[in-house]
Amino acid sequence: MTDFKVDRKTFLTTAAIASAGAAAGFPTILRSTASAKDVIKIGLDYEYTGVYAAYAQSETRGAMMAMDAWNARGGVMGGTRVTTVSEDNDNNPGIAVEKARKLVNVDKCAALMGSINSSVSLAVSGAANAMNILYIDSGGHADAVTGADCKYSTFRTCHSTWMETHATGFSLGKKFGKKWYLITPDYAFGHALDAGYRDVAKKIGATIVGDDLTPLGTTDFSPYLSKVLGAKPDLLLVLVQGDDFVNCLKQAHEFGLVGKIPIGGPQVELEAVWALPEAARVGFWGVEWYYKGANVLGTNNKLATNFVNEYRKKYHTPPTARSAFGYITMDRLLWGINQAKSTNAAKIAHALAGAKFQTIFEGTTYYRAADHQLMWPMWLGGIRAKGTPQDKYDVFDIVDRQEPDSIEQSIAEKAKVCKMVWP
Amino acid sequence: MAHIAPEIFNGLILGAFYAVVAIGLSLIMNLTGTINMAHGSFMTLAGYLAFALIGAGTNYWYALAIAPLIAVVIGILMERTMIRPLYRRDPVYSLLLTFGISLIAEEAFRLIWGPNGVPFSPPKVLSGSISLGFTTFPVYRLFIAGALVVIIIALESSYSIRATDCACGRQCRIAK
Repeated sequence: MTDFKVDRKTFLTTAAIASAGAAAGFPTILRSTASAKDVIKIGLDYEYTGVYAAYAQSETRGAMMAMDAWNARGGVMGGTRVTTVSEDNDNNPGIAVEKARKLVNVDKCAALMGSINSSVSLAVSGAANAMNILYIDSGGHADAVTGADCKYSTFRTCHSTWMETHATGFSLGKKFGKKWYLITPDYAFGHALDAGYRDVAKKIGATIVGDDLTPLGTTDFSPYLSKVLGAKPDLLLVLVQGDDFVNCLKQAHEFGLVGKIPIGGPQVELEAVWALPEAARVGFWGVEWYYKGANVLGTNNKLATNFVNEYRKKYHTPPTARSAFGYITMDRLLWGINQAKSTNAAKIAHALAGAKFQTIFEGTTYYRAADHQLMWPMWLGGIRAKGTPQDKYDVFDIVDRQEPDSIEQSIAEKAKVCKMVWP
Repeated sequence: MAHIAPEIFNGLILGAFYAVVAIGLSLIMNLTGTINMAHGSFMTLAGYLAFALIGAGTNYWYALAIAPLIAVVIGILMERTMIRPLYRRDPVYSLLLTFGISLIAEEAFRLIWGPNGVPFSPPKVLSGSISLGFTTFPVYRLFIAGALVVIIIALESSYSIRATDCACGRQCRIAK
């Protein structure tokens, strides 16, 4: 290696370029420290890069639509406009906490929402609680967020892993058989799903013939899939999500598993199915929300049809379950701030807990006061490879709906693990 | 124990994938002294271009031929304008430059094609799996392993540069 001696000329040139760069960025720095008294900022802490990037984009889009709707009605607390500040946490809980602190301490965000990765949700939930800031977990499913790690300042919109496994496990066992093979992402979300399915298996007498833990971001599932072929299960449960889901199903098709062994799982997302080649679009899955069908949206649900139509017009693809999470989260967060007439976390939390409302699916729902979990149904569906002649995006066939009280743990069971401490 | 043979075979084929990528990287390093951190970006670019060509109606085999050629042209432009001035400097300079390009490229792909994957399948003749006795194996992966063999034969038989020496890391440099 040659020795780098920085000569005077190089130093001056580099310094000049660096200053010019900083000056170009200066207006942005000025803008973000501008007076916050006429604007309320909501911090978005999401995984904009990495395995779950597509989901983060959908959730943010849904959130923006809710924010725009509130601003069009005059904002919150008698005329205060709402804006957002977004940060990328790269699927890393440490970075997510840093970003959360930056959003609150530097950008002066009044509340936080995020994330897709359950480990991130747990980390940000803790950080927000330490700062006494309200945090709504829009897309991280692990039970602990409203279970062992529940916080007065944390709410969760998407279904819990317990709800997902118990909505699907019994039906899948009845439909396909009792020898299950699991491919599980090796972090909080996967472990929670694993525990949920083991509970169902115990209840119906199913056996887990194989359980492979895969690192998040695995691109090659061939070692696991060849084991599955050897084990000959009645059902392959694919628990991985995001890009992992796409790679796993694609390779399952390449290895000839599709058609030979039934495939199913706790959740399937439109973003992932749209990324799959048609031959790999198979299986029977839990569906958290869908953009059409009376069994999901209800009949005459103006809020739902407006949401779907406006989203479609703006983004050219239909809204997904992730878009719904983002929309419901932002909508209720702003409702809570408006209702409490404050950005104080405890006041918002008291307003939100137990408050019944109707939104973009059929029926009345609420964030349960005991654990702050949104109590809403789960649907079950198969996949249509090609969509319909009218709509190439319409790839889900919704066949069943399960009510929240039948699939989530009871308040008494949750109380054993969730000890909420209010200020 | 019966499971060992399919795993070893699978591992060898996976190794073939990495070899296909690594040969290009190694050629560049030995011919030009450039540590090309943007090598993956070029492969990604060729992949997306092939997807775009097939989406526009091109046959898979034409896309397989054309997409890398377009990536090559962009590579030549990059070499002429950005890498060439750095030849007489320490390899760290080209490493930093190509690292920066890879960051820009990643974001550019996300902006153009979105963060979601795009559906891409091999053509019918290469899809599906074939029984090899001890395991069932995807035809497409065997095709890539076959492509590696063809690449190595092609490199061995090019007389002018003794390119396999370069690709396998032995000394060879273009005259400076």
